[in-house]
Amino acid sequence: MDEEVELVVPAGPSRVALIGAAAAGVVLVAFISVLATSSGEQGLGPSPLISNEAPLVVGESTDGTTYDLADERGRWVVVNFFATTCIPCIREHPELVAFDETHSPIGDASVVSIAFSDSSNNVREFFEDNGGDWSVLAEDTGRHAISYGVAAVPETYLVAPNGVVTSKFIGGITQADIENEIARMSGVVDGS
Amino acid sequence: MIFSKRSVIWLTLLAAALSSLVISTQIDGPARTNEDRVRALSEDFACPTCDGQSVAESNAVVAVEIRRDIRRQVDIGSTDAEITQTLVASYGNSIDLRPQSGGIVGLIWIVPVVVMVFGFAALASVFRRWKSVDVRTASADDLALVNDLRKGRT
Repeated sequence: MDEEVELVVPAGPSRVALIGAAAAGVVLVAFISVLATSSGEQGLGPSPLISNEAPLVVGESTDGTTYDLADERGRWVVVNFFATTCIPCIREHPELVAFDETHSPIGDASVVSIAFSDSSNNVREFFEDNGGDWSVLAEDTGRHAISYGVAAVPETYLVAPNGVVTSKFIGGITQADIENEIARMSGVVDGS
Repeated sequence: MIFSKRSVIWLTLLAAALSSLVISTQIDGPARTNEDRVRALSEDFACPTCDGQSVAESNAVVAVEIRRDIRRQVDIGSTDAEITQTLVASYGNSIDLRPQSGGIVGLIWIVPVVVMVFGFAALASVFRRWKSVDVRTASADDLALVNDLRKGRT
């Protein structure tokens, strides 16, 4: 006589568990993608300097002349903190060159570059290779970076013709970024 | 007499504790070298690009530059307050790791102390009230009544 055998089939994962696992997987992939593609904080940023007089920038430029930010009163000044080894700084450099070439002949805006924790030789070489005909401070520049509250290069400050800081850019910038910000702030700042 | 003997002792102890606290904040410690001041100040400021590290602890480029700037300012004779002021003017209040004495941060420090003082006062008041509850002793008539009731029950 045959013995009756009861077959027990193990239960598979429920539909709810499958949907939950799939959702968790999608969230994880999205999170990893965001982290992998994020390039850090970019664009306009806050600064205690905004709406206050720009800190002094006086020093010897790499061409041997003395640079004084106070002499630039009457035009916009782009104060750019950079390092020759910083990739976003290398990427933004042609944009600064284009901006300077547009505004230098008119005389309504100028650029000054301040090297952050870099050597004079590297800076000179960088400008020889990449162009840029404006004042560059490369020695004893730490105090300037600290007085502007620089955390990491590149950082750029826009100083209005009346000597007041109007904006701070975090990360690499383009010529359009600067032009747009000058246009936006021109109606706000006296004497621009 | 306005105060009891016990109150006078407690008030004296409180006054002594407060005086010690005030005196300890006013007395200058041993003379500090410039190196000591740079080290102490570096511990008071947050590295702007690091999570939870002070300028003293971090080797980030900006932390190194801030340490150098502190040293420069100490060497030219700036006071601790002046150095703090210049760094806060550039980086904002978030760079100063020391507890603030004003605004909402100040309230965070003051409120628990005020709550504690009121709590102790409330407890003292409750204990005093308990203590002052009129405790009556049984009179001879009361005892006789209880005895009579007990006898009746048995």
